Amino acid sequence: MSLLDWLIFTLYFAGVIFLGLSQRRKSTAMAGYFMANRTLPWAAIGLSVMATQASAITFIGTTGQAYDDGMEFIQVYLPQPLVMVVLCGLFVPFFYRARVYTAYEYLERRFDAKTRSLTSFLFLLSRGMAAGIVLYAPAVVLSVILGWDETVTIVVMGVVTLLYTVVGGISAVIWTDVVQMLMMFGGIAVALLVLFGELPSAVTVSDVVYIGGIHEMWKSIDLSWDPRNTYTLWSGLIGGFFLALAYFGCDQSQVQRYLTARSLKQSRLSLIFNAFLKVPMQFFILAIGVLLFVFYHFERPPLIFNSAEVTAVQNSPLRGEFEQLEVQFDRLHAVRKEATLKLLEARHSGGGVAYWHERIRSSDERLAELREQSKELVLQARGAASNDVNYVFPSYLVQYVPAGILGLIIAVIFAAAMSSLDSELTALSSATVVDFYRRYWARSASEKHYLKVSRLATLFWGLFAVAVALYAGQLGSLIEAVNRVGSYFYGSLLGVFLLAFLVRRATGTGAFLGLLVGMASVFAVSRTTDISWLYYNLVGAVVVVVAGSLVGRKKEENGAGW
Amino acid sequence: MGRPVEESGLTVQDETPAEEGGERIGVFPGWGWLYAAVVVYTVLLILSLYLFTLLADHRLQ
Repeated sequence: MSLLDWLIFTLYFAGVIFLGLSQRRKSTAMAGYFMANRTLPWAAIGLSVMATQASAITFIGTTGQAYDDGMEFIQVYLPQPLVMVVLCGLFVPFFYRARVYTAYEYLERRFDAKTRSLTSFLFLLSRGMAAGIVLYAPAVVLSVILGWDETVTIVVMGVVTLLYTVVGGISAVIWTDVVQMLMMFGGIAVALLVLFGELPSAVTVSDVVYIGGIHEMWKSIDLSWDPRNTYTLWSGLIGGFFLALAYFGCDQSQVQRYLTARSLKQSRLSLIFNAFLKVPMQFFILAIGVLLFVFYHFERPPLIFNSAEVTAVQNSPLRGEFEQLEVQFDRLHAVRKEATLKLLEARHSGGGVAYWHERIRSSDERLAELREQSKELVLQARGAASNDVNYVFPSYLVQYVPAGILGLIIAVIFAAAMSSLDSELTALSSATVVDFYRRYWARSASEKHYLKVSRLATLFWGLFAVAVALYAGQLGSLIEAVNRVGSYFYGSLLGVFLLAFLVRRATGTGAFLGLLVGMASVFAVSRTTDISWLYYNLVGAVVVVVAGSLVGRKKEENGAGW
Repeated sequence: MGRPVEESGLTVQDETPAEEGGERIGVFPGWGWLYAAVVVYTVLLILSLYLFTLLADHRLQ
């Protein structure tokens, strides 16, 4: 990176720290620290909700996925506006009027302590690990691409986030999220403009759409019905609906945001704001990936984008085979580039395009084969599968983006990671203090005491996240296991909340048993069927509502109903 | 005004739904209209993306 890049990067960190620390005086008690005394405006909360969901992987992983598979991932996001309506009409009024600190606290009001404790504990388990991954994933990519030390990257990102979150609480988190989200919007626009600017001057926007269209890269809607396929309209609308409802309605890292609003109206407006902006934002992020795909028709892409994987193969006995693939890749890319330019010429002059289409198609097939063969070599050399998808966009940034812009976009990637991490830290801290410490150990301590414990809890979770990130490489299977528990848990948790809101006769025992049965059902479905993971939340939610209702009915019949 | 509720050892305020009725939200006469606008927006998004999928499909048939 150039001096200008470093200057922009440093300015970002200095600005975020200053803004975060300036919120310190608003956190004089636990209500200020975790709920900003319910004083925040809807626009700030809305941007924070978006920033919390958009992690660094949204930028580097989603663009890479679009480079490989096109726009079809957008279908998972399509039900989100509808989810926001359900949240505004059903979830938010219950949470807001109950004046709870955590979503799980509400479950004790409605059911019992054991249901609250189990759900909060499962949240802490899955989100605690996830906070580490939020740090680890971008740090690995940036260390490979920029040559930065992975440990230093994790520690700098973690410590800066921790500093303003511990001191400023939720106010600091939300106001820094606002800046970070605005930076992300700016970063997306700049990335798209730079990519267009890097294309040959004769290539128009219409040509870009055309080249992407040859490869079906703009396909955003797939109407086929196949529950095994994640990326169809129906999987997106049905599975994505329950996934988003579980995340925005039951995950404390999101619920905490809209509980900080000045009023119920402001709380709802923050979600409606998301309803209108989320899908377009995701569309433009995916479009960056497709534009990269088009761009690499004119510039020679790396055979493997992850330079660490390339080094591993080159230092292995497979070096010769890899070099042969590189030579063939080089030659085929030249063929495809020429065919693409000729195709555009023919298109503009009204000449025949079929021949050039065919040349491009056959080159593409062969190029894809070569990429698969090279990934096979990576697998043999490293003993681990290639995860090249996360390196496509960062690799482009370093090679092609001008000074100043690079610093800005790297700062945006950091902003995306930090805006997710800070929200998770305050959510983990609030669940720890409110659902466990205040509930079981210190029920009537002073506000000053709770504030001190809240800061210590945030500090603990921040250090925990940094530790998980530093050892994530060695914790591979453990993290995977925790993620799996998380995926079994979310839909079932949603079921518990639906039971609470919609089934009047539901009891605490029904909810608790329903949660366990729901998780077991999702586990069984994941092991015995090959339906897309997107449907797991639907399965969990339905099983919990049915099982919980049946137990409630049984109790009523036995005269023990509420 | 809200009423205090004592449950599970926690004192809380249970707010009555005072903000609900006949509230105007910007240009919308009420929440129902705003929610309906979101639903229409979602349908239009899906239709636009479908149209875009068809129009931007340049594979040779």
